[in-house]
Amino acid sequence: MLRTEGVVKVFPISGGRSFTALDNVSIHCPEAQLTILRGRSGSGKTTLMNILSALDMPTKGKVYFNGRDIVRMDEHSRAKLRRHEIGYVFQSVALIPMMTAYENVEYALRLARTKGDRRERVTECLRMVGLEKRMNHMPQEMSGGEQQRVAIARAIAHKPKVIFADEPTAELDTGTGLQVVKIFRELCENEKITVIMTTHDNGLMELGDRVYQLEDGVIVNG
Amino acid sequence: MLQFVIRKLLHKRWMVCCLLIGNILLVSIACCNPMYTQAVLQRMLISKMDSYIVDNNKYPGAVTFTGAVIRRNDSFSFMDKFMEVQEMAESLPEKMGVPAIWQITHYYLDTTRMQPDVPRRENDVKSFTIGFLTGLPEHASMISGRMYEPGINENGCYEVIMSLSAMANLDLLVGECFTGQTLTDANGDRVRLQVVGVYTFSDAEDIYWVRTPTSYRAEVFMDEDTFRANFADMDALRNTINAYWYTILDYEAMRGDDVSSMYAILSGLKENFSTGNYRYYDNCSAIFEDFLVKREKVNVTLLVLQVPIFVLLAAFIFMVSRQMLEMEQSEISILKSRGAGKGQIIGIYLLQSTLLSIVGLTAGIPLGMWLCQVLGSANAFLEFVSRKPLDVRFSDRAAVFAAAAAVFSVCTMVLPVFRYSSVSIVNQKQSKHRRSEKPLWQKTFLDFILLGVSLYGLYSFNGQKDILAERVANGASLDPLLFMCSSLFIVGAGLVAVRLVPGIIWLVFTVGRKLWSPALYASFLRVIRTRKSQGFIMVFLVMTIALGMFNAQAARTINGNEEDRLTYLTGTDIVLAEIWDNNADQIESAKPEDIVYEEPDFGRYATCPDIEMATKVLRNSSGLVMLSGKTLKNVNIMGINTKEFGQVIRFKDDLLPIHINNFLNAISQNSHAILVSRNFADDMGVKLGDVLNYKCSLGDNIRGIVYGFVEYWPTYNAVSNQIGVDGLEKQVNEYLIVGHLSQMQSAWGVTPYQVWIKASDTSFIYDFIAEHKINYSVLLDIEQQTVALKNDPIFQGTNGILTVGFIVVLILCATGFLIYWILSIQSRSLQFGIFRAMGMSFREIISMLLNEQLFISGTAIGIGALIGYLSSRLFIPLIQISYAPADEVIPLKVISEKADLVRLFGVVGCIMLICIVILGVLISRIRITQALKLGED
Repeated sequence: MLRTEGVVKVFPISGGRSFTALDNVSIHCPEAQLTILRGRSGSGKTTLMNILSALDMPTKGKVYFNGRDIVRMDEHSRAKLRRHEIGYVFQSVALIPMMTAYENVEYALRLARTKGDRRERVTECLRMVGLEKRMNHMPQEMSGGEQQRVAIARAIAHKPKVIFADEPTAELDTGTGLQVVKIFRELCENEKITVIMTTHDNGLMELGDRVYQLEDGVIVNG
Repeated sequence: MLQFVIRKLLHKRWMVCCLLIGNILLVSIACCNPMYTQAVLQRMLISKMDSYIVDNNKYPGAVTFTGAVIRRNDSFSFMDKFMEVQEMAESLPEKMGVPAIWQITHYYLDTTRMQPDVPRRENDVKSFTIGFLTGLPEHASMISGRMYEPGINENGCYEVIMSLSAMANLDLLVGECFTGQTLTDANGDRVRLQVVGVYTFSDAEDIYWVRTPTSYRAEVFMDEDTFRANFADMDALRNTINAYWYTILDYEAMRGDDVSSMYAILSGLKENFSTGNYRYYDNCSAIFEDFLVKREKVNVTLLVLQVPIFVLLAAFIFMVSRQMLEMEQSEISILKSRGAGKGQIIGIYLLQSTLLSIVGLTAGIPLGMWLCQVLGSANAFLEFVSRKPLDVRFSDRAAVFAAAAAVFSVCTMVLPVFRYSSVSIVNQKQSKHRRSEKPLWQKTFLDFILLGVSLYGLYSFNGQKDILAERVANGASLDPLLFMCSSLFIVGAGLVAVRLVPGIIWLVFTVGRKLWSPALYASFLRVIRTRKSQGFIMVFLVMTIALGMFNAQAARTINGNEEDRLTYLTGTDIVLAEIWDNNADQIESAKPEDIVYEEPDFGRYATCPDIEMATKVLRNSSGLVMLSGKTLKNVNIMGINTKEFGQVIRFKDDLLPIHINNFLNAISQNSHAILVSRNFADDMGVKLGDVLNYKCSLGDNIRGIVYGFVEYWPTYNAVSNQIGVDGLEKQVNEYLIVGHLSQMQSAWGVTPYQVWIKASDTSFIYDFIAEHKINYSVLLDIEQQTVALKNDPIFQGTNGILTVGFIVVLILCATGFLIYWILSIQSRSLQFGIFRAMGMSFREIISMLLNEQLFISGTAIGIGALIGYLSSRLFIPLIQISYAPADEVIPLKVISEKADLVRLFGVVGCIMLICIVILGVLISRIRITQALKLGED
């Protein structure tokens, strides 16, 4: 489903020097599986995620999304790709603050230009994460875990092929974190969605189908 | 702490820039007011003095005291008073603080009889008034003979000189010697005089001559020291001494600020010296009095005109500093969580605001002085001419105003800190989790209260319009409350609108909820759900646009109506009434109808190339109308040549129901046809086709057939104010009859008429008059009158301030707008990151922002325009009263110049465009990944 070949990412830093965040990274994330990228803070997980999810461009290397090299796509096609085939769950809660839980989820459908009865799908997604009772609440009125679950509902609403989740459990307690990852598992199995998530929590490793360990921008297992 | 604050300021360059703009403008406008008022009043004072010279041929700075030490038998009375006045006259310049150009003493003895050495007839005795005039030798030139020498000459005589009129009056010859009949010197010898010369002024313009040489018809002058030693030795006085003290103050050195104190001194003098021989006269008291009234009016008018600008500036500074605080809220709460007290936080902001204010002061004062010059050259709204630059000085008053503005601005900036400084990190997090609350003014219904108050004000002012007009006519200044009402209306209506707008948008949103594109959907939600942050920019924009429109229309209306009034009352470009030669002094009877006039050559006008058209207009205001037994006196009669009259006049088409030419055509059909004024028809019950007889002092009855009624006619004013027998002003109806000049001339003969001239440039007329040596009794030049109107300090100031206000509005509008949007983009970069990550394209983000612009700025501008329009319609007619006194000759019209609106909206449009470009650049620079990361903090 998603494959990288020799991805290198170099950030310029002050003083004309540069910092190599990713060095020759090649990974493979099969369809309908949960792939986990793990590593310490600063190991390059998020950078890799951003590149995989067409948010950022690698300095060198190739990224194949369903067989297409997204590095060669123009910005517009990538926006389209993000809109239709990708769902995001960010490290910190990233709901749109002026929209209710329901509207946040619905908005993903609007962006994906989903026609027909959106209400049903939105309710379904929120039910999946166990929040159908709170769908008219504003993000500010919900706890971190609830918000995170709304974010997941939003990520899956438009039925993307891949969901990227960057440290979705970082700000949650162990129990809630486990619950979130379980939702991802179910998505892989029931909806055939490919899930890629990063984490530094060792307790969650066993839930992944594949685990890549990153250290200083290099894959150390695989 | 200073370092911390400076680093903080450097970090927020944009905000600081905006705050500085606000501060600089505030200070400059605040200190510009007193400086400009002072400068323009100074100019007014001096020009009043200048025109006094032209009108009266007297020097306005001349002050005269008279006094006398009177000998009765062997005692002298009033010696002390005499010395006191002398002292007073000498110290006057010092007391007034105005340098004297000349201080002249004129002592003279009582008129005394003298015998010539060589009598020309029997009992040849002359009556002399012997005296001296300080500094005479320097200011006189000798027509014949020579100047006097001090002391006694070889003939045993004191030498004296005389004026031409004295020579003629007393019948004297140069060189003649005289011996006093009773006048003796210190030794008891009879005084001898020799006339040695005839003087006149050395320069006709010399202000030394308070009295002209010709007015000294009996006076002869000798050397000052000689006179003082021999006749005016105060310790051994033998004669009555009369004196004039002339103090000629340099009026050009008078300062407008000192006028009240100078006026007080002069009034005191007038009271003190008003009896017997001790009197006091001056030329400038009346000018001062007039000046003081006008000064009050200028002061109030200009201040009142500036109030809305101050309010706007304060709102701007408040808005920006609040935005800044909002951005720094987390910093504040972090500082607090680290143990900083409320006092310390306020201290930081106090220091920061003070720094900004100091910069504002240093830059604002020079800008204010420059603004004064701009104001001084304002000719009309957004129109400048080059006039003599104003003498702008930085006075104490200006310093106080500037300092007050600075303090005010510090308060405005620090005030919101109190609220923010008590917010702890916990409160802050909590408040983030709450829906945005209604702002304070909405909770207190301030908007409706303000609107209500202003409407009530409008209502009550409208009710007492007449009283208002009367007060203005009596010299009162514009009621500040009236102007406040218009400002309150703008603010109140603006707030009400801003309260209502989200509701309307919500309605639109809900109706088409399913249909909106993602971009529109997000824009709608933002506008509806985050009122608090947009409320202020909307209020601000509404106020800005409304005030801009109001200012523009107020200025246009005030100028336009005054000019229209002037044009209407003048009738055409030039009105000239020549003085005709006549035989009045050759005939016995004093009846005006018997006088035969000699008509000047009218052909001169016809052949002059600068004159497009000239026509004869007979005017007489003592008409007598007889109609079915009733007689009406003092009717205004106007005799015209219909065709030419129609071509020459300047008359606004909309004053009459049909074009004035239709009336002219109507009466041209019948030589007896006349037009009468509407009030004449109403009061006399005249109908169309009625026949009446009219005559005037010039001659016999003329039969007139009424062909039409007119409410307005060039120069005709239906009501005039006259002082009645009881001394009170009252309104009198004026009636008008317009008939054919030919008819009147055949009945009354050719009598002096006015020449009405149409010319595109009127300046030729002065050369024309000089060339043809025309004596005239009336000369009205529309251009000259317009210039005079424009030079009036109130008009000038009004135009200047409205113009500057308008420009300030534009600047504020631009910066306020930009800063708001830039900030709103910056603070929402996380959101844009999310939108982009969710697959929103760049184009969609831009269109989302465009929608927001449309919803927020667009509606605000629309509302502003509407409120501006409404406030102009409602309030300008009232404000106009204070400019066009008492007689509202022609109906008032609120004038709006399209060009101004184009300017206003052009600028606003440009700003929006620039804004969008900047926003586009900003957004395209936002890296999604970075935005998301930023959002994590």
